[in-house]
Amino acid sequence: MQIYSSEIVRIGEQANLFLDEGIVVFFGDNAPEELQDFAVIHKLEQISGEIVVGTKISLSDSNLEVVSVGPVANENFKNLGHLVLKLDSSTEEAQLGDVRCTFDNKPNIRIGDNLRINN
Amino acid sequence: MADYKKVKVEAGPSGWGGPLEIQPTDEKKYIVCVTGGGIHPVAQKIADLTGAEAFDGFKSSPEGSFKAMACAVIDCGGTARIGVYPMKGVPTIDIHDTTPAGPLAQFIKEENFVSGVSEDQVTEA
Repeated sequence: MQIYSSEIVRIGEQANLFLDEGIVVFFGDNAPEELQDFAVIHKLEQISGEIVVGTKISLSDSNLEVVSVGPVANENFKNLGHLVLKLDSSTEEAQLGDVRCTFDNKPNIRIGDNLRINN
Repeated sequence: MADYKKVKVEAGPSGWGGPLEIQPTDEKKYIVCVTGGGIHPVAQKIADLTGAEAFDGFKSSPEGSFKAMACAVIDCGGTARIGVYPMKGVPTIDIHDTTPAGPLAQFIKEENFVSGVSEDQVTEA
């Protein structure tokens, strides 16, 4: 089941601070300017489900699979369109707001790319 | 000139950092709340005790951006907002039990950040 489908509309000037460390910080396009600078911005669409272990995420040219979900990650995604993906293939428990993923290749994110989340 | 009062914000039982003293001024007069679902009770209490204005930072940005913020109240899960506001020189209050982490961890200090905060940790200074 598809729980989210959107497209990337902006990449903040300082998003690389996170991307360089394998962290994708998403905010919806309603987020304040101060946060958009640091984030990858997706057009906010309807969210119809929860991210769980095993959820598949397709982002740009990459396929990710969720291995751990922090306890406030879904709440932040629903309330703020805010999602933090850690692409480190670590099996350690995710921090509060993080979603840890395995990946086939590191995403090369560009404006207009797709973000799809499926259970 | 408005007469703002000072408040003290301490870490919760499982929190980190602080205590912070928040003293709004005419230049830094907004208690900016960047959480889901409007003004969080912690931000409202800081606003009520100081006399400053609680501002929903998710609906819009205050005029003056970071420079106009007396403090920021966030519900960060430990990676992004936890570092952005301290990096920009804004005293930052997280309602979740977080510790410095993420690429911006170097900016997060006991002097500018406190976590695990509920209304009980906000008192008159």
